[in-house]
Amino acid sequence: MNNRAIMHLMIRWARSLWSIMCPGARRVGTPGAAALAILAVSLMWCVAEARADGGSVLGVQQLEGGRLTLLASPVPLSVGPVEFSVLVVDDDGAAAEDVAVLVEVTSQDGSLWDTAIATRGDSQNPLLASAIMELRHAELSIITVRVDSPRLKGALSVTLPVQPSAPLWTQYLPWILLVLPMAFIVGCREIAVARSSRRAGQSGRLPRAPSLVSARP
Amino acid sequence: MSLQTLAVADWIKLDPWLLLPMVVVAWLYHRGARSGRGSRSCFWLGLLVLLIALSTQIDAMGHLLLWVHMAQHVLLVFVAAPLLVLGAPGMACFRGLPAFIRKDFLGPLLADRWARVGWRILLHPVTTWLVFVATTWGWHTPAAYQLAISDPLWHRLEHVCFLGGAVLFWWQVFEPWPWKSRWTKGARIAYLLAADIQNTVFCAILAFAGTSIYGSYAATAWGLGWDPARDQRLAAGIMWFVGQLVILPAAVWLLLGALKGRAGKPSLAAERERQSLPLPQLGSDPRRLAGAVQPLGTQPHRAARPLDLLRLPVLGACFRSRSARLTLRWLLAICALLLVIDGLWGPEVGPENLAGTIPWTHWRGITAVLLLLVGNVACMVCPMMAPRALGKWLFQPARAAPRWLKGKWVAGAILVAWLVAYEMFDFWSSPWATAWVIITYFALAFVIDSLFSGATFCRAVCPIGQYQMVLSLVSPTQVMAREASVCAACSTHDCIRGNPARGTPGCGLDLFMPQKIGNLDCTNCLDCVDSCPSGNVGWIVTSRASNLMDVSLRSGVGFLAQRIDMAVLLLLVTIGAFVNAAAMTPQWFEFLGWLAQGTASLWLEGAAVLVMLVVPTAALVMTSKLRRVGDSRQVLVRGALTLVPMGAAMWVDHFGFHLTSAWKTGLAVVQRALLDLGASGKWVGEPDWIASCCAQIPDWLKPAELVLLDVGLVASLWLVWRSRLSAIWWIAAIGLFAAGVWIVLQPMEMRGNLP
Repeated sequence: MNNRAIMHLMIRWARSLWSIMCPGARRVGTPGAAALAILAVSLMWCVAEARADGGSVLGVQQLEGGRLTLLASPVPLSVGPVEFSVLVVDDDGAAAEDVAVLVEVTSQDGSLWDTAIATRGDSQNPLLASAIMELRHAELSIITVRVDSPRLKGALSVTLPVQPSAPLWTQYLPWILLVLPMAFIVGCREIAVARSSRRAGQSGRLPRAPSLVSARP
Repeated sequence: MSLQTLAVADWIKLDPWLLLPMVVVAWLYHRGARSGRGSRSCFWLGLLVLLIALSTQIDAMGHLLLWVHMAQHVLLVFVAAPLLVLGAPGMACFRGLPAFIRKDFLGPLLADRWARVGWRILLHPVTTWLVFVATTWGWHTPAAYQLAISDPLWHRLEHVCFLGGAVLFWWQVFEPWPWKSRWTKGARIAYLLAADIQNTVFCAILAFAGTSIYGSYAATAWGLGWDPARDQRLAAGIMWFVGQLVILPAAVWLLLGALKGRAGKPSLAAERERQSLPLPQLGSDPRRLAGAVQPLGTQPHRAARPLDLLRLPVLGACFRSRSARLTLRWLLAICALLLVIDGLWGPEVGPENLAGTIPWTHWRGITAVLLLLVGNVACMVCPMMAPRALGKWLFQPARAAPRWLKGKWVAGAILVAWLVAYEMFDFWSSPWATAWVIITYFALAFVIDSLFSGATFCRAVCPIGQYQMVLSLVSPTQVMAREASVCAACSTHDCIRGNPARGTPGCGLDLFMPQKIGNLDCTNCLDCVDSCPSGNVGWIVTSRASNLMDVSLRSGVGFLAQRIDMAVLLLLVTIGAFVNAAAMTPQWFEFLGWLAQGTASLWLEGAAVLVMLVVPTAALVMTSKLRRVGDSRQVLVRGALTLVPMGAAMWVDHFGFHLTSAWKTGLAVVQRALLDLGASGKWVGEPDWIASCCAQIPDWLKPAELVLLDVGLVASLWLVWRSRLSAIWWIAAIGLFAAGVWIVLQPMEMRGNLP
């Protein structure tokens, strides 16, 4: 690229920046831009619905003849429903099929709080075996996974703190606060209407109460 | 079959919550697309890629292996996004929106100067390039990536950023019609190459890092028998290779276009010139802006006719037919009779009895949802039409209702009595009481309409009718004249007088069609449809917010601005929604227990409900009196109208909750009733009572309820602003919203469930 081309490019950049700073100078492509917004919102909605699966890795254990990986979602663990997923592979890297997977949650003193059988039917990913368990106690807990099959046998234990659950309203806060962007959009629209109405010498709002009564025949 | 094979075979999981928005976008595009076949194919292909990236095992496996996750991102950024943009989707989707959204809502918003400034900044090449690069680098930092794979919410946000940034990026390159980039093709080649360079640098860092950058993937890859470093190198390779495969051809395409001296397609101005059509002067007029979405070379836009439900192919014919409506009413009257019989002689446990479940769980819920989605269907097919018709046939009453019965004071008092009695005597849990309520209702309808002409019972007595008619103010439909000019030329006025020759009655509620505004006092009986000789009355889908602002003369209602009784009724229905819902929370029972302190709680509960209904209503009435200037009555009526959307949202939340959480009880009680009547258990099956005690509440219910309250609040605040009301009404709307949120988040006592 020669100097002239670089200069040309820089001038274009400067002009573009100028047009940003002085928006009234030229109007380009408003309907297209607006339409883009609609598409973007719709598609983002699509994308936002994508589901995660598995969660974060809590621990990996090398067993005799294979490996065992424990995942959980959501992490950090808190009181309430938690999905535990277990991945069992043999030494060839193939996922072990006929494995019974048991997940236990115990306290530090060894008392059993909850136990569940993880199955592939409860998992989005057929390579994982999952179980949804209700954690009830906010204290240090031991999560143990036991696998049992003719070729693979073993257990994995991790000790993790379970945090108290957040208040219910915090869980639904995004839905409650949805009112703010909605009000913002409606507010912007109202301001736009009011501005164009002012230009046309009208008011977008109703007249105040007395004027309407006086209009009564 | 090995699990790996199973993972591939089970490769797609169609999630309705993902499919639904995709179908909406596809429908909008299909409605509005005017581009060529190639362009449209690109869009459909883009949607397909999006579906593959998000609905298949790619998404699930992406949590275990980095290269799969990277492949998903590459599909979103380098495949789906450019294909979608090539389909010129923006204008197509915009054009596919219903006209009233385009013109009345989006038009003014998009024509605003500051909105244009915002769009210009957002769509500037520098901005789009920076957004694209920032999302790529920002989300691939170890902390952000770890956050995304450990929390589904952040993972969704990550995908949103990737797709949004990529669509913006490719928008500059492909210039979907009618948008034009400010940069020349040469500058945009530099834009693409700069993006390519940063992509290469990023991939090089990832590939030659030596160690695993993302700790979580190191563990899962090892767990799957993969070398984590190899996994990371493969991820970098995929991103670099696909990036090159897309960016470089795009740059070549731009280069060829620049060399030819023309774009890949003619500019808008050239196309207009070719077709000898004037360029639209968009200016700032919203209607003109919305009209600018006309396809090139088509005829000028004709105003679309509003949708008339009575003209729908099958349903419309049913609604139009008087005998079909009568049949429905008689069928419902027979159902009511069955409820009475089961209520009086069936089991006394509410959830096992038809009378304990059908009216309180199903009928209320279905009619509330229909009110919001369609209109006042409950009154249209009301079974009380049967005793009313019988009374009129037997006694032929000609006497008009007395003046004190014409207003809404009596109706308001009966509504309060109804809400108080409902909580005091727990109608919902007593089939016997429910049966007697139905009997009383039928008797009252018979007596009132035997004494007075017109629909006196509906207008002045029926509390359910008042609730239906008030809430139908927010319904999307209205019984109205199809063409004003036809009514102007009419001299017979059959819609109000009736047509004796055809044997059709006029409107019992004195609603004269040309002057009818909104649904207030309209029972949707559709007698006016039968009577109109010109067939000019329709059940029209209309979005007129003026129904909730106009307080001038309304047919059948009079000057709404002067109707304090109507305002009080509106307030009672609105506040009643919150009181009725609050009375099923545990805190309510704790409060009653604290109040009772050993005294009889029945009357105390009634008194508490009465106070909670009357005090806020009286307070709002009194605040309107505080105005020193202006007509306090008009302020009160306007204020009461503004709160109706909040009340509607709460009623639908409440009744919708019961319907959703206990709808299966309907089947169980019907099975029980049939078995009691001697039907064979082999055919009927055993009732599944688990639906009546331990039904799982769906996860989506609370968010849906909260969204409904959000919409109600925004609508109410908008009306308050438009109606120029004082801060008291703002506070009232926000206070009701806060109360609604609190109620929704409480553990609810579910109707229809076994004790």
